[in-house]
Amino acid sequence: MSATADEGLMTGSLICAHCGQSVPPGTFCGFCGAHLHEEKGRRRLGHFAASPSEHVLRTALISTLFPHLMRRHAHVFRETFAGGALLVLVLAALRLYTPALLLAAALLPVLYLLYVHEAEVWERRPLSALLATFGVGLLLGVGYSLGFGQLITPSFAGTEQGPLLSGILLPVVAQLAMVVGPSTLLWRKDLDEALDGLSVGVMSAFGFVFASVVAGYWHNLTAPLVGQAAVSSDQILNILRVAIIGAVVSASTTGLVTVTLWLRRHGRGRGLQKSILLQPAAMVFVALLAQVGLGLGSYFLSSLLAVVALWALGAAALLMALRVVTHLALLEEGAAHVIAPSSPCSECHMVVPSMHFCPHCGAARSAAPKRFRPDLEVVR
Amino acid sequence: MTVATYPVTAPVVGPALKPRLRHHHFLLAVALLLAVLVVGLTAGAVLSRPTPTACHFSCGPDVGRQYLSPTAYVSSAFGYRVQYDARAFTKSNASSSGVQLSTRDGSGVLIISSAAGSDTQSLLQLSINKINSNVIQDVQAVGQLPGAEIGEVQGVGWVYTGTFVPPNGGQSLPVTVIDVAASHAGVTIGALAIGPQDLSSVANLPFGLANAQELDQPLTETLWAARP
Ligand SMILES: [Zn+2]
Ligand SMILES: [Zn+2]
Repeated sequence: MSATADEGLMTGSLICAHCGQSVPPGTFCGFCGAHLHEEKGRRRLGHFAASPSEHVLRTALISTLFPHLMRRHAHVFRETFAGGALLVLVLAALRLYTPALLLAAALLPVLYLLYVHEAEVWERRPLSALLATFGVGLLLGVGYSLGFGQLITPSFAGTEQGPLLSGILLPVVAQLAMVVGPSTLLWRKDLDEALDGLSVGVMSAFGFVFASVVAGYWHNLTAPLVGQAAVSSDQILNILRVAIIGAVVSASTTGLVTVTLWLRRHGRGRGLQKSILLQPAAMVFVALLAQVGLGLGSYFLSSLLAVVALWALGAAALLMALRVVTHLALLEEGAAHVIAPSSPCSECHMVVPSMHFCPHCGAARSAAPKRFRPDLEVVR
Repeated sequence: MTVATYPVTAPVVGPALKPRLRHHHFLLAVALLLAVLVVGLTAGAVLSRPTPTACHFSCGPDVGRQYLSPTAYVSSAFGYRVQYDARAFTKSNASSSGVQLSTRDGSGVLIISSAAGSDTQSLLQLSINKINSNVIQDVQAVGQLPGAEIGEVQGVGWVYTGTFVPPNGGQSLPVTVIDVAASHAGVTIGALAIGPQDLSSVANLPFGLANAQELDQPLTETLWAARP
C-alpha cells in the first residue's frame, strides 16, 4: 500500500490517522472527512463541510442556510438576495412603504422555497413537509402577532408591561412556536439527516417570521399606498430589522435546535466529533438565551439605531454558530464504512470514489443536491 | 479495521452537473412568487384601509365641564397645579418640575415638564426628545397646532405622527404626538401628549389623537402660580 500526498493520485489506499480507516488517497478522508495533511485536520475548520472552499468561522448567509446548493449555483441565490434587498430600498425611496415591507418579509421565504425545490431537499412527499414547516409557521406566526398584540397595550412611556412579558416571555414563546412544525417531522424516515433538520427548522422560522411581520404591521400596511412624506431612515431600518435580520436570527436559532435534534433522534452519529455543540439541550439553551438577550436588549435600549446594531451583531454571531454546528454534525454523521462506484462530486466536479466525503475537495456528499448523490452501500 | 481497495482512477473532471432550474427560469420564478405575494397583500391592505368619517357641521370638540379636582400634581419648583381625574389617570415620575400622567388603560400618556424663563421653543424640543425612538419610531412633524393653550395661557404647539412599535413583536400602530408649551410670568410649562391615531371618529379630528379630549383635560385644568 502506497500513499502519497499528491492530490488526486488515486492509487491504492492509506490509513487515516484520525479514524483509522483505510481510505483512498487524496486530500481528505472519505470516511471521516478529516484533512489528511493538516495539523488540526480532524475538525478542518478551514474547509466547511458543505462548501469546502469556505472557512467555517465566517458569517455567510447562503452557504450556511442553503447548504445543499452547488457552489457554482449558490452565487445566483446570493445575487438575487442582494438584488431583492436593493429593491426594498428603491421601493422605500419611492415612498411605497407597504410594498417595501412586504417585499423584505417575503424575500427570504421565497428564496428558501426555491432552494427546497432546486436541491430537492425533501425528496419524497415535499408537500407534506412544506405544510408542516412553512404552513404551521404561518399559522402560528399570525396567531402569535394577533394573540399577543392584545396583551401588549401600547404603553408609550415604556415600562408598564415590564421586561418580563415583552423581553422574556414573548421571545421564548416565539422560539418554541417555531419548533412545533418541525418536531412533527422528527419521526419521518425519509428526513433523517442533520441537513434535513436544518431545512425544516429554517423553513418553519421563515414562515413564522413572515406571518408575524405581516399580521403585526397590518395597521401600518393599510395606510395610503404612496406616503405623503418620504419613508424615513427610521422606517427603513425598522423594515430591515424585523423582516430580514429578524428572519435570519430566528432561522439560525431554530436551525441550531433542529440540526442537533435530528442528529440525536436518528442516531446517525459515529462518535467522531465529541462536542457539547452537538447536544440538543445545549442548543435549546443557546437559542432561548439569544432570543431573550435580543428581547431584553430591544426593551431597554432607547435608540432604534442601537437596537438594529444589536440585532445585526446577534444575527452574524448566530449564523456563525449554526455554521459550526452544521459542520460538526456533517463530520459526525454517517453510517458504517460505505463505498460505491466512482461518481462526479457536485462541489469540485472530479470523478471520485463515492464515500461520505469527497477525497479530493472534502465536501460532505450528503450536502450535495439530493439527485446528484450516489447511492452509498454499506460495507461490513 | 476495514480494509477496502479502491478503483485506480486517474483524476478526471466529471460532467458539469446542471442545476434543476436554469438561470432565467429561476429568476422568473423568484420574480413571479414575490410579485404575487407583494401585490396580493398590498391589494388586501389597501382594500381594508379604514375610511375616516366625514365631518359636516359640528366638528368642534365637546368641551368638558370645569371642576376643581381633588387630585392634582403641584410643582414644588414653580408652584403651578395640574388637576386631573384620578379615575382616568395614574400619576408617575413626579418631580419638582414635572409629572407623567398615563391613562388607566395605558393607551395615552401626558408628560408635563417646566422650566424657568420664557423659552417655549427649547422646552418643545426638550419634550419631543424624550420620546424613546425604539418604541415610537419615525416621528414626523405634521404641522403647527392652532390654538395651543395651557391653563388659559396662549402657547405654541406642534403635531407629529409616529409609529408605536412594541419592542418584541405584537402589532405596531400609528400614533399622534402633540407637543405644546406656554409661558407666563417667568415660568414655561411644556406638555407632550401621545396616543393612538384614530381617524375614524369625528371627535378626534383633525389630528386623530384617539384620547385627545381625555389628554387635553389636565392641560385645560392647569392653574398657574401667578393667575393669568
Ligand atoms: Zn478518517
Ligand atoms: Zn469534491
